[in-house]
Amino acid sequence: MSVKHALLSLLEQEPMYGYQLRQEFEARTGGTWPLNVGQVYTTLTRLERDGLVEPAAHDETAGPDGDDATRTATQTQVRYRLTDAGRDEVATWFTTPVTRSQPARDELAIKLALAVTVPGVDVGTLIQRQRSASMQALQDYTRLKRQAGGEQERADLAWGLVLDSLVFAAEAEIRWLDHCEARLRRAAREGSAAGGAR
Amino acid sequence: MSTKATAPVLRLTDVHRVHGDGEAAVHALRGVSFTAYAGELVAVMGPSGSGKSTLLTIAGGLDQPTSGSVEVEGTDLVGLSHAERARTRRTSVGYVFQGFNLVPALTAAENVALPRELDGVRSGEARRDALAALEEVGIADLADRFPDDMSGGQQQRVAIARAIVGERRLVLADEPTGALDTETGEEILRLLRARCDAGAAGVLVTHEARHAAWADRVVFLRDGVVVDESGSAPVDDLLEAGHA
Ligand SMILES: Nc1ncnc2c1ncn2[C@@H]1O[C@H](COP(=O)(O)OP(=O)(O)OP(=O)(O)O)[C@@H](O)[C@H]1O
Ligand SMILES: [Mg+2]
Repeated sequence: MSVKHALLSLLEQEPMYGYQLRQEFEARTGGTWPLNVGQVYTTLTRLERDGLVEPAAHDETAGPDGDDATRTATQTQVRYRLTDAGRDEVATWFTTPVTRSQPARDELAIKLALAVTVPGVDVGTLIQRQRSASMQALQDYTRLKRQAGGEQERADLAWGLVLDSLVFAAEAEIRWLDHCEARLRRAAREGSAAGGAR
Repeated sequence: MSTKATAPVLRLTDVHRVHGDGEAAVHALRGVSFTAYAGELVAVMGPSGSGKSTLLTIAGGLDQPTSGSVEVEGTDLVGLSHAERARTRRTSVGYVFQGFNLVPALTAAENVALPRELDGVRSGEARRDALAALEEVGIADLADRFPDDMSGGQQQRVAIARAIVGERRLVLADEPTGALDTETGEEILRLLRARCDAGAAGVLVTHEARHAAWADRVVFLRDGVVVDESGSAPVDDLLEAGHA
C-alpha cells in the first residue's frame, strides 16, 4: 500500500499534524490497515526531503536544516501542508490506475496448486475447510457492515466501501474454491472414464 | 444465541427424497438433518442439483420426504392430512420461490393479500396486512401496480412481502436475490435479516456467498448430503483495531 500517497491525499484537505494524519487515515479505513506513528513520521520526512510537503507554520524549534534526530523529536509539533509539487503528485495518483503487474503471492493459490500435484493430499477436504473458513470471515465482515450504521459522515461511507472491498474479495475466494472443486470433480470423472490416465 | 434454548421452528430429521424409481431414480436428499430456531437465519449453499430446492420445498410442506420427519413448530408435517398440511403451510410458512411466482393478473397488494385471504381472513383485513407488509419491504407506494409494470427488484420485494405477511414464523427463500444487482440484493437480505431479528426463523437458499454471509449459519449441501456448516465468531476477533 502506498502510505506516501495516502498521506499526501489527506493533506489535500487541510494541513495536519502527524498524529492527525494517522487518525484520519484510520477513520476512513476502519483500522483495517493500521499505520504506526513511526511509519507516518518517516514518510513525512521523506516527503519533505522530496519537496512534496512543507511545514505549515514556522514556529518550530528545529530549522529546516536541523539533523534527523532533532527533527524527529520536534516533528510532532509540525503541521504539514502540500507544496505545489505535492498537489500535482496527488492529482496524478488519483488519475492513474493501480497497476498489478506482478500478482501478489497468494498462499491459497499456491497451496492448491501443490495439493493437486503432490500425492496423497485430500484436496476435497482442503477446499471444504478453506471454504468454511472464508465463509466465516465473510460472515464476520457482513456483521461489521450491519453494525456500521448510517453513512451520513463521509468517513463512514469510506469505511463502508473498504468493508465492501473485503466482502467482495472473500466472496471471490469462495467462488474460486467452488470452481476448483467443480473442475476437480470433472477431472476425476474424466480420469476414471479414460481408465485413470492423467 | 439464547434463542437456542427454545424449540426449533423447523426441524428436519434424517430426510431422504427420491424422485422417480427404478433406473431413473434420483436420490435428491440422502439423510439430511437440519434445524432453524426462532430469530435465526440459516443459509443453504451448494452446487446446482445438490438438493437445495428439494430441501426447501420439503421444509415448506410443498413436497413430501420419502422418509424422515419434518417438524414445523413441533408439528410433524409428514403425519398430517393434505388439508392440514396446506393449512400449516399457509399460516406458519412464508415461501419466496426461485423466480418470483407472482400472479400477473393481481396487483402487488392483491398478490400479498392472497395467502391471508386463503387463511380465511376478511378481505379488508387481508388488504390491511398486505399494505403493512409492503410498507415493511419499502414499496407501499406500488401497492396498486401489476407485476408486469414493476422492475425485477420491485417484484422480488412483493414476493418477499407475500412471504412475511401476517406474521409467518418460518420464512423460506429460494434464491431470492436471483438476478438483482448487488445493492438491491443486499436490501433483500437486510429485509430477511430484519424479519429474523424480529423473531422469525429463516432459511435462505443461495449460491452467492456474499448473501449467505448475512446468515447466522451456513450449511453446505453436496449431492443431497450436508457436508459442513460454518457458524460465526465474535466480531472483535476479526479486526484488531476494529471500528465497532
Ligand atoms: N420432480 C423431480 N423429478 C425428478 N428429479 C428431480 C425433481 N426435482 C428435482 N430433481 C432432481 O433432484 C436433484 C436436486 O434438485 P434440486 O432442484 O433440489 O437442486 P438445487 O440444489 O435446487 O439446484 P439449483 O441450484 O440448480 O436450483 C437434481 O438432480 C434434480 O434433477
Ligand atoms: Mg434450486
